[in-house]
Amino acid sequence: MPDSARQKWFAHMLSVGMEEKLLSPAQLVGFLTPEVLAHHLPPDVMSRLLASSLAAGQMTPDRLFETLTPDVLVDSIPLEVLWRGIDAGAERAGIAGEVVRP
Amino acid sequence: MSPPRRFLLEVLRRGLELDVVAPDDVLEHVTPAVLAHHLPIALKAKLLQASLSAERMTPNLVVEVVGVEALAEHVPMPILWACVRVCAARQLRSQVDDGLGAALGISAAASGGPTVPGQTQEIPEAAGLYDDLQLKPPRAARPSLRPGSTPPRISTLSPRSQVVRRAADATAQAAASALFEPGRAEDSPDFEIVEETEVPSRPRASRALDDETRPGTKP
Repeated sequence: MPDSARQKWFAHMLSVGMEEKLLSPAQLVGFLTPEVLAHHLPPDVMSRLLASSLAAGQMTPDRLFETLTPDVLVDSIPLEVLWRGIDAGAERAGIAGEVVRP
Repeated sequence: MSPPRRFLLEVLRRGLELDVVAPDDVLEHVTPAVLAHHLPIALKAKLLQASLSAERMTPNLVVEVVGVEALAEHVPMPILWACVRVCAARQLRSQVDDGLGAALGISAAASGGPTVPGQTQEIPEAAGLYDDLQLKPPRAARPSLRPGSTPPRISTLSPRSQVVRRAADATAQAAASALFEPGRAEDSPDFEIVEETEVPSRPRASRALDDETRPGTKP
């Protein structure tokens, strides 16, 4: 479980972003690449991920994020990586356009 | 409310709850001009009324009275996201700082001063230490001399010098002299013994001329 306010905030951003469809597993996999996951996921999480994929006989981005919940992600993946994914989602959704001051 | 605005509402609301976003951060981006342009008249009137009643106008009061919902609903999304970006960047920076402090065994106190684990009081003398340590390159990047390793040899001798005895000879000589000087036995030579040697640079004037000009009896 995330223990700092920073981690909780990032987990919340991920969670709401996915709920509101601003972030999608397919888009996030572009940032959470297999190399990143292999490097940062602790053995117990990696084991769960492999076991669930083996049981389902498939590994898709959606399945990946059933195991890798926002809480799990902020615990193991560098927040900079997660932020890049969130920011890209916001850009894609048109939130992060050019700021026009009145 | 559209999904992107709901997303912004949730991000800002949770950020404010967790104190990773401060009302000051919001007002840095949602400036009075933004409020004046984008808030509905009813909300602007409510803000003025609340400020007049409280006889103050602070970022806290603005965020409290206007509400995050109204901000997320009326303020242009890029402005709100710019605020989120700044706060996220600050969190990522402070994460790096925290990591560095932890790696060095120092935790920055709320006042900004360092504390040493295992001790309850702060060390005033160490006030500048934390900054200094942050500036210091990582241990791996610093040159190190391990015990037993050979230090780099430095010579200030002229280019005309030649090495005539190397370390093995010098060590033997040092060991021999140590027999007569107790206490120097463990000293290992940090230098080479060299001798100045004559290196001809240009031909001298003819001997005949020297003989001509030499005072005294000529041969």
